[in-house]
Amino acid sequence: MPAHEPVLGIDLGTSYSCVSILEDGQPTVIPNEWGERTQASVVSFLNDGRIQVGNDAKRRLLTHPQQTVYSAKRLIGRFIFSPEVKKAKAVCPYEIVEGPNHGIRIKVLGEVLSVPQISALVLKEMKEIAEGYLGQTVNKAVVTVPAYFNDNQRQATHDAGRIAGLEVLRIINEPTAAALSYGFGKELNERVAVYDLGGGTFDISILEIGSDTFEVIATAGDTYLGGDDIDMRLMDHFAEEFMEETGINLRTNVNALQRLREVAEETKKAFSSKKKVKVSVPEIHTDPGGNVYDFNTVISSETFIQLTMDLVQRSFKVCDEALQSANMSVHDIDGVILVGGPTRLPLIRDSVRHYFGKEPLAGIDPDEVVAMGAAIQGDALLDTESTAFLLDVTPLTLRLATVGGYTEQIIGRNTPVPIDRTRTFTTSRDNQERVKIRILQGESNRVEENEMLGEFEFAGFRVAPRGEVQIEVTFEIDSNGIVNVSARDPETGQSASTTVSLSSGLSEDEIQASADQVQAADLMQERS
Amino acid sequence: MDQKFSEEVIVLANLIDEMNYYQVLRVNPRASLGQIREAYHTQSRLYHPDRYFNYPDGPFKQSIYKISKRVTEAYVTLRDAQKRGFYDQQLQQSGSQKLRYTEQSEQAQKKAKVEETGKTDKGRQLYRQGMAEMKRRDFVAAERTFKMALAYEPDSELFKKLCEEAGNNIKTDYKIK
Repeated sequence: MPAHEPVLGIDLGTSYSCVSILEDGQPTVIPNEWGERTQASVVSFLNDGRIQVGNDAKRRLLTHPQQTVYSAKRLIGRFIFSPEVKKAKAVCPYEIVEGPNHGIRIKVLGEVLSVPQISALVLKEMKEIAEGYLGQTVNKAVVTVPAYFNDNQRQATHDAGRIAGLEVLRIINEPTAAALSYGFGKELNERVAVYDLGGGTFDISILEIGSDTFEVIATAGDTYLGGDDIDMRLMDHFAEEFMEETGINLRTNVNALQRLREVAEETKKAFSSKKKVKVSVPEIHTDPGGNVYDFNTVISSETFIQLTMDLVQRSFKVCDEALQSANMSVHDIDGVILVGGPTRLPLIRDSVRHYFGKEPLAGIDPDEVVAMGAAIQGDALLDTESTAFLLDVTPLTLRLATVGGYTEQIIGRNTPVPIDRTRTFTTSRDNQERVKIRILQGESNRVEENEMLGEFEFAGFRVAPRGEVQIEVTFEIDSNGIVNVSARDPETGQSASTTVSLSSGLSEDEIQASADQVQAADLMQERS
Repeated sequence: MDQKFSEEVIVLANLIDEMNYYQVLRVNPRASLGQIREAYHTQSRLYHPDRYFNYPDGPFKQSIYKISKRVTEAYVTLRDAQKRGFYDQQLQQSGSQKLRYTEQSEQAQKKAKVEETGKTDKGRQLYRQGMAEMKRRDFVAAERTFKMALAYEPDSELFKKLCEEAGNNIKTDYKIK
């Protein structure tokens, strides 16, 4: 029996999620009732009010596309004007609407839901799978996020956990979790690169693994690049081919598009073992005259590579960046860990081997390794005897908006966390009662090219002539990679009250209301 | 956990504002990069907040957190050759024990970066030439070049220093022979 209560390790993926727990010191992936080890991150709302999550819900993408939400992770913590959201709006059959503070909401069957609420339903499903397996309730979890996630995305993921009724002990980075799973208890002394191509995001992290330390040297990523984009290319190619053959544009037909999407994903997976894939979609379209069309084609791996090579190349630009940040070259890397379903593709494996000049490490399951690492971290946090620890970094530069649309760096990217930095501000007007600052994350000097984290307003300090009052503002990035801002008057030592606005996040009331709703929801368990 | 350690941690957290980064990491001011990294790991082993995750909130945990953030800050500054150079300079000038790498340090560093290569076109050109001569250990030529640079920018502390350095090296070379 473990000395502490169980902690789940949850890999909350764009396309699939996975849950793991430590048993007898070893991370075990928990399958669902039907033995499936990964669950589709899909939530489907039924007309009778019931909710279905996982691989069954994914099947309903074809039959009930408007009621079935997938790839919510691509939207989490983003603003409505983000390019990713615009892209999603163009291809997603479910309805994406604007929420408060330019946030995002999803409208299903007349009900408006937040993105963390959708993710919470996926987390709740993972929690229930684990509870069914363990025969007891579980309330604690470590949840993973892409290393390149910004503060808004991390906060929103944390909120999702709370809504699902989970105490999120820690948000950890997916590549770091993978490295932990690989190196835990092995007494290694090596430098590894974790190449993590997921459904919706790409991360590369470079770590030095010691006997008990896992130190991230640098990380870089692209939260707009993933296996989904490969599917999209194939889908587009199929739609184009159908158009050439028949003159019919399937892109305006929601149902046909969903079927093409599914076929595209299957075709991609088939290329893991095949050189040529035969595609056949019967009755994909019926024209107004009642004529029924089928779609049949054969696609070679050469064509597949042509369609997607630039996406793969983009990932290596990001690798260059990470190596440069780490002051290393590919020759300094002892091993390469592949994470994420798309890394099963020979196209990716060959490109990685070519880039790093070595064979990727074998015996690591790219779909399960992240959840396993999260389970290890969860156990290490609660186990007082554990000696291993992670030294992770913040992926993006924390900035302060200054005058004229410019920004100033506060904490640079790839700085180890937890860390804090203090800045002193003075009042610029007589008897000023409030000081406002805007915080951003990103690598540009210009405000608009960075991600806005929020506007902080400080009040409650002394009222005096301008320049006389000083406000000491402390910016902190904690071990979750989450930014905390606090202020105080250095003379009196009194802390100033802080109000956050313009943030994409949910209010405390919204979180509570969603939590009640989600925790009361009955997730469908029967299989039709 | 032993009571003594808990008390030590609280005392250390109170003292840490009076300590410089070398004292925080418990390394010699001449420590190599490898030693600094090793010290960061050693200190993290002792004070990483994750190791005390399960402890109740209170003065001990707050102290651990404060220490670990300062350990990280020390590491971030000392592992970067340029930042460390400026920090060392500041430390020398102030002669004080405490000192954190602050925004003032960063501004000083930016300003120095301008001065680093000279204020005039000719000064910058001679700087590059002189540095190249230093690199191939032609100190006689380097001293001459920096003297010329000084003619263009008589106030440059950097050129004065480099001139002196080149001169000292000429003597050293001679002695070796």
